[in-house]
Amino acid sequence: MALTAVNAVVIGAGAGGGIVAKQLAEAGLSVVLLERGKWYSPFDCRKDDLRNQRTSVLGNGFGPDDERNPRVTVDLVGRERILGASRPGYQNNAACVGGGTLSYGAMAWRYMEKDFRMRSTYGHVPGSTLADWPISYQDLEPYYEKAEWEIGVSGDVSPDPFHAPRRKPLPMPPLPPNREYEILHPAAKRLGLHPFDIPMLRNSIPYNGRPACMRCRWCVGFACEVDAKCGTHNTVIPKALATKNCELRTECVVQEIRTNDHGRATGVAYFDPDNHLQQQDADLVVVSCGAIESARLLLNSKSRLFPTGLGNRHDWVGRNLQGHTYTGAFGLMPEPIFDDLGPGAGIAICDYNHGNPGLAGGAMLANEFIRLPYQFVSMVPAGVPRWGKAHKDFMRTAYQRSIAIQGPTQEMPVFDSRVQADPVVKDFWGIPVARLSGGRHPHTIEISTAMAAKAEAWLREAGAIQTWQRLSGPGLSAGQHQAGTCRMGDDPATSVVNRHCQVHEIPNLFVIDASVHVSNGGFNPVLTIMAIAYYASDHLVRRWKGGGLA
Amino acid sequence: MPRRPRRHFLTLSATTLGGLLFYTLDRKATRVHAQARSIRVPLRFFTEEEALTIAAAAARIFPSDESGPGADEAGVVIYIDRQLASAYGRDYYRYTQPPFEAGVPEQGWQGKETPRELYRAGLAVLGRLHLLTPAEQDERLKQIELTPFFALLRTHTVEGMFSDPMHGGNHDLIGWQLLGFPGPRMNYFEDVDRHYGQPFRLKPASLVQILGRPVRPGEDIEP
Repeated sequence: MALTAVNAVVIGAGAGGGIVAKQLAEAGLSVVLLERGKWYSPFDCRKDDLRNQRTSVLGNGFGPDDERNPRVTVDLVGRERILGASRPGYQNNAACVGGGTLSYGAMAWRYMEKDFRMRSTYGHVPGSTLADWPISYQDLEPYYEKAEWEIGVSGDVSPDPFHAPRRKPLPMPPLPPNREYEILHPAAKRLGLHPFDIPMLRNSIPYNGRPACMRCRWCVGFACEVDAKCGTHNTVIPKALATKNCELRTECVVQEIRTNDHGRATGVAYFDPDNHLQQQDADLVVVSCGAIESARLLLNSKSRLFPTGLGNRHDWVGRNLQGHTYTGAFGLMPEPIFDDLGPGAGIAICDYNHGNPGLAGGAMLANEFIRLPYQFVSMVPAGVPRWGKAHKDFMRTAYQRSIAIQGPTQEMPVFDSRVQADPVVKDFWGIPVARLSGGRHPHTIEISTAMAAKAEAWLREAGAIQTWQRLSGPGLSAGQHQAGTCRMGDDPATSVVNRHCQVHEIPNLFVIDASVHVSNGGFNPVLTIMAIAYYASDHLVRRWKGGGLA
Repeated sequence: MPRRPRRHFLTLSATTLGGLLFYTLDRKATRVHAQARSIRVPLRFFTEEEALTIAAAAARIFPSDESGPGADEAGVVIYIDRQLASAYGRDYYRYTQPPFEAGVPEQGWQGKETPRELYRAGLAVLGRLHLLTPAEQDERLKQIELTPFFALLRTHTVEGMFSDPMHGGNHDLIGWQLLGFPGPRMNYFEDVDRHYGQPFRLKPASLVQILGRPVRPGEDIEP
């Protein structure tokens, strides 16, 4: 039996969906927000070093679970694997209210102006679908600001001469520096670089009724137990619910988006927490499931008018799957410098995001968040044995002396790096799972290798007596920074949604998450996802004329 | 009525267990007094003979020496025993239908065997390792260095050495003390203004110690 119809159903309560739900609910639309995971509280922090979103040896801390959510991955020579959700290669983000924003490190970057004009800046890159965005940085600037002030960002980008023009400073000052910062800052200055305090979605002072960061280092992979980290779960989603116009339904897994004979979306079919199939009709459907799951849902929503899935007339849904290619370097200082002062990462440079001779882009470089002893074991340089006394001696003497610098290289989108609905494997609910295939563009590897050398040079200048690089392989990239699978564009033949995140073929269906990113910047993507969510919601609300879009 | 299998215990000397704090089967912290000569730990997966063999191998992978304690003192074999007995050991986290192919390193172990089966097979190869001299043990481990079993054993040794004690290893935070990792500390408000210019080495604390209440490890949360 169908549930009471609403104005909008938003699928996925993450960085994008949480904001859309709130913006629509505040504008007076009735909203149902569906989330496949649970709603965790700060008390669920559990600093369990083997079971969290970053080190998932014993499973994911914040979903999805291993038993019900397999995916198929296809490697570069065509071999298929079926993986549980906590296994390497699954390209997991999270499944919970807040999505990745519950357990992220919380860097809050605005992309640069050139990041929206990659094709105009660098020209055609053979083998890549690199293109310009249909919108510019200026279009998003007010919405970046909105995200910074409503969700809450601390930091200071003013010493960074490369940041794009902005009207307002960040609402909160940066946290005081840790030891790594104090070593790396003067070293960067000596190299003629421009170091500054990383903008973070983290309270450095009490803000929005929540306390300041207590400076533990357990950010990435964990929930914040003092609630100082700002995500959609503790900002916009409670606000959406407070309007009484929004209903959040957790542990609901959407099977498909339903459409009628006029080519309009009519609502969704989903499995409730008791695994009963429900139908929720709505005037608007917003897909905000993350780049992999959003594409999978569109591809799984087939009908007579849309035999290959929604928005997929030109076979672009699921294409251009990308993330970030993280490379960098480790360095050993002569003396222990470990102070365990959170959030760990604190200093960054944007000198190498653009303008690298012969390279079509670059990356922001920053120091690193938590480095658990267990993780450090896999970061030893070549030449150190994998076991025995020499290995132990390295671990024992190196841990407190190590610094890591790394950065997310902006990837060259590849058409054949993609999400498909697997023809054979189904999940617990009988829905075809995501099938991931493809790999990184060779030029992405080239850029990321150059970035590792820059990171190494910075560490040397900082006094490291031994340095070694961390480089990337050619395999598929997606993970927590997954993006690109429902590209935004003006031409329906080469994109899935228009400049307002509206699916070209279906005017009441929207995709609002990192899927729409044309390219993914040399930065952590979350603030851009949030800005786009505000931007697209704004447009939607302006065109809303009770019962439909004008 | 099926006969209950004989319950195995691992007998450890209290002096080997360098730390004083010991976690029993139900994970109650127990103080081992200096007078006690030995302690009998109930095993969940291994037989006593198998536990001794694995303990010997782990002790070569992360040895005890003059620089400090190693896998023996950290109770790595107890960690491995607990993991193999739990959902992990029966491959709860892995999709285990065919096809089975080698995969790329990033994908981890892709074979058909569960961790339990890998250990049983590996134990057969290791034989009675604990009766050999350290040099002979190293020699035998080098022979299997490239096998999936050794990769797993090495990973587990490292996990047992450096993960939170609630998982069964890292007894008395020996691994963290060795590295100078303070554990899941909550804040440093007391220390933040006074550490500059001098090495900062806090005595580590486990999650249970910091929270002051019992915390169940992930293995017990699983259905």
